[in-house]
Amino acid sequence: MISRHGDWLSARVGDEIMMMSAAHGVYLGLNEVGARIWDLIETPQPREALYAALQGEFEVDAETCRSEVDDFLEELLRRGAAVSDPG
Amino acid sequence: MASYRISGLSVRSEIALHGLMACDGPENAAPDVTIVRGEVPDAFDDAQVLGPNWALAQDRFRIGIPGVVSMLLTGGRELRFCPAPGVSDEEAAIFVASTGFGILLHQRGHPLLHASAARVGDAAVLFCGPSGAGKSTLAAALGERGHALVADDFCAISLREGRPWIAPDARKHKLWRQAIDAMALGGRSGAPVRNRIEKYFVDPREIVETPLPVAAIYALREQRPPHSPGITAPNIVDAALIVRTNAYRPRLVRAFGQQPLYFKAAAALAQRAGVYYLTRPLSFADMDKTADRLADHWASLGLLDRAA
Repeated sequence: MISRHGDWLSARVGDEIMMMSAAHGVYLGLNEVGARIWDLIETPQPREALYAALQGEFEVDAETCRSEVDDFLEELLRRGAAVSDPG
Repeated sequence: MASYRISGLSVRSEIALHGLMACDGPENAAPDVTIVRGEVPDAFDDAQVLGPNWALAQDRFRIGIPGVVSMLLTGGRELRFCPAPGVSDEEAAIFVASTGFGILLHQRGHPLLHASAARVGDAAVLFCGPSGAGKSTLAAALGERGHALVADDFCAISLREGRPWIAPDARKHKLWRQAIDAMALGGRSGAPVRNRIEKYFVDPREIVETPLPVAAIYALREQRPPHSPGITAPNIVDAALIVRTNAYRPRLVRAFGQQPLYFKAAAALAQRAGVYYLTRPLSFADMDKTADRLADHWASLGLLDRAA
């Protein structure tokens, strides 16, 4: 399960999201797809559910969708904005 | 006692603050801020954060400008100053009105940007950048084109229903001799700002005295590779960084724990106004071209349609 992590402030600007870690003052910007994923993981989601949701909303084939979502989640995990819980 | 209105606050001061616009103070009402001469401690026993020439303890902030003046700011309500031996009140007042008052605004919890601002239509546009970036000169040049001065050096931002507004802080332009000559403003230039520097007070042509919504904020950049002249929009992270790095005193944002405040201001500026880079040559000869470019940008944003 993927869920949000840490104390992030976020604000929507157009299709994008501007974020700041309250603890570290680090800024992060999410594009339209990233912003959608951020919305979705407000409640913990299995990866499969994210792939399915995004494939339904954006014009993308299954393989590209999986790899791009995985890359994005990797980045969120690396920056401490999300956690991956095997449960 | 003299009364002033600075960044939307009523101020009563024991000394004259040159360059600021005096106003008739409310006779009975307590001012928002008082400026007094008095003892300033050399240090705090209970300091929480220390800088090279400043210290923060609870609601007290101390800053010393070596050889000129030391100041104690309490609760955003009182600014007490103590000139160094041999320094006149007049010279100390320069720092009280700029550095001292700016830090006091930080202390009050206003997002405060190191920026000048001019009126365009029914709104304000801001120009931010470090000292020497040309903020004052650009605001003065726009003043000559009919855009009243909203602020010359710092801009206190407030959010009303999510929309960013600026409290006017019209004071005399502080301009370098070179800028005054280039813009033929000699007739309105007055006393030098300080005895030893070639910066002079110049009366603005017209000033704004009421708060205005912010329509755009421009980060000033000098034209040099890789930056070509023009107006461009940064990505949202850079937009947020422009706001934070152009705080009046960026290091104090952290000391006061105000990063979330600046994030919210950046979000509001990005959502409800616009954050841009304005890249232009620094030469005075190119000022007209820069002003034309801005006018085109304001037309494209629809700001000029609303002109009263």
